[in-house]
Amino acid sequence: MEPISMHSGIAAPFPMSDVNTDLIYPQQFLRKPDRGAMAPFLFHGLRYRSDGTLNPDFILNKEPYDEATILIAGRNFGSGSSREHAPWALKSFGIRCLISSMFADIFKANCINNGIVPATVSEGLLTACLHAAANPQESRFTVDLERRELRNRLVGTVPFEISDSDRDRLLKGNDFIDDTLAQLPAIENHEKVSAEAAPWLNLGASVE
Amino acid sequence: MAKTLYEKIWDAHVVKPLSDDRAMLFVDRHLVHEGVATYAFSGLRAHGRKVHRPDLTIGVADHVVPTTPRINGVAYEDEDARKMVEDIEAYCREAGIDVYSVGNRRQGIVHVIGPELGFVLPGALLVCGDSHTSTHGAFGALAFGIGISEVEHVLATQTIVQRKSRSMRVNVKGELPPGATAKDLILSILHTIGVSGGTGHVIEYQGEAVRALTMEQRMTLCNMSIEGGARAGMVAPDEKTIAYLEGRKYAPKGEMWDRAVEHWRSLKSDPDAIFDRDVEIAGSDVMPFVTWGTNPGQSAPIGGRVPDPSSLDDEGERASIQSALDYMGLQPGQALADIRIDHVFIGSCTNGRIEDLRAAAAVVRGRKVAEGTSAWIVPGSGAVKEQAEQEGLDRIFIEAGFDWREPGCSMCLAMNGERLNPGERCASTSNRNFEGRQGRGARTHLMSPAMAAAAAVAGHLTDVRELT
Repeated sequence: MEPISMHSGIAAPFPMSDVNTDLIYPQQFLRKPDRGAMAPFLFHGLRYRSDGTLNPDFILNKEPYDEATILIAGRNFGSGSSREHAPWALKSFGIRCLISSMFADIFKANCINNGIVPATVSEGLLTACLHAAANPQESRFTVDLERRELRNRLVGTVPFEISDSDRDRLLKGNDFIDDTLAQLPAIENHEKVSAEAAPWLNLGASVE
Repeated sequence: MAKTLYEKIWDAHVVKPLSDDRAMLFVDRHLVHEGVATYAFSGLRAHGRKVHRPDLTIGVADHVVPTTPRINGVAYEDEDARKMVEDIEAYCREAGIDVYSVGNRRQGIVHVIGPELGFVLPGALLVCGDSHTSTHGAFGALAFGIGISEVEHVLATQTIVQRKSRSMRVNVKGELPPGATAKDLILSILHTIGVSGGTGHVIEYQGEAVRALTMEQRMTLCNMSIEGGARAGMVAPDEKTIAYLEGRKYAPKGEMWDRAVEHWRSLKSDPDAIFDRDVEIAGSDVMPFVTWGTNPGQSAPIGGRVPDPSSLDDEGERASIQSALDYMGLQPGQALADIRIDHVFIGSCTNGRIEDLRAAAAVVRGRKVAEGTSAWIVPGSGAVKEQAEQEGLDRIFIEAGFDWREPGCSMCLAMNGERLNPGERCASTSNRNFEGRQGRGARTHLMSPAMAAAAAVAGHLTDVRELT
């Protein structure tokens, strides 16, 4: 996973709250095999009209937001389905950072696992960020993960929340499976201990 | 110190405590479906990694399998769908994982067959790359949905790294009145806490009304915990849990069963355990609910009306309701029972079990599906379908004009291509009424199996209690 520490770019304001992952990545594209080529399906029901033409009113179809790399989203972004296609499509479109006042739990974990920064801000700051980004001239934001700060000409320098461990993972970009496999002795020890404490949970495999 | 059930299960699974209130947790049970398998196993293979504990994993094909007859082959929506099913069969075979795919009589929805096979047990930690994994919490397990990268992580390491959630107790006091079901209870809870009220929490359902639910009803309840944002919902095990599990394929046997039961009988939150949030629901207030909007919290009792956004002070809420009504094609103040429907879908991991089909059949018996309405029954599994056929429920449905189909997720999420056309309206026993969920532009009203059956015979939403 590519590390990320500081990112600057155009931020698109998308104030709708409770945006679920069905809306971010609709069901008819869930069978697409290439996770790096999902940009065309991102927000498909909103980006395209039913006749297949671009919806000129949707934020990501307007200049300069068609080149946005940051999305400022309403409260409870990414709720519902666990589909990782949602962050894959966001990343494939070019989005590296999300700013909201609340992210759904599974979606947030999926973002971290794909090197996308979920920056949580207060409701008041979210409103200020949405307001600033709504002006194309003022829509440039910097997300400084190291310092946990957002910077924008109108909003100023403001803090965002992200846990130490999530921040650390994004900064390092380590492969989390490698990290865990380095703890294999601890896993094997747990398997032995639990095989004695709750042997009924063991299915078939012999634990030495 | 007094502990909640969640904390007890958490503590028993800590492989290694980590910073930030996190831990590496051991996964006792992993369900893999074909919608995630292609991505996760190919990632594993690309890194030359092996499945750490194939014995603790089962594979299931449910998301993309068609529910049309399979006698002359399986009519997949496209080659991508066919490949997903072929992939899970091949990857599981190679790794030594039991797989339940098309052609296996036990095939069905992952959250229906997991319990049927006794794969979930009280006190276990179970994960699956599907948000409705919360279903399995009905057995007093800690069960939650994960992403595909995490599926790959679990396959390779049999562990998952999690931050401890806050705890929420939903206490349902008293009894549910006649005609009110587990589906109505969870819709009513979601109406109370909202679609983000459970975010960051694990819910434990307690109270007389919850104890009175059957195991299948508890599954319906826990299934939709995620619709309130809670990754997991759980009910402490009791004699019903034990009776349900006894003799099932993966459940312990003999002396091991006795030891397990002894442990399960003690597995509950301590009486003085502190929850971060407490919610009380009066069971007697629960009544048949239907959704009118585009999230599962946007609901009302069937006797109610579509809300009028202009009556609200909050600008954000007004806009959100107006947008839902525009999508749903509804008028403010319209009586819910006047809403005409085109289609009925009875099935899903929420309400595709035998008790659900019995409840629907009891309404349908001797009646006909209304003209202009199409209606499907999609059993949750091969075992549910067989049981229903033994009881003659299939005849009741077919004679009434229902389509009696093969098991799978089907039109709950339309990932297999079975979908509605733009503008079509469906009375559905599934779990999500999101925009585009059942097809682009399609409109979904969530309700219980009995209410969906009543809608099928009436041709519009209606109160099943008033059906004469």
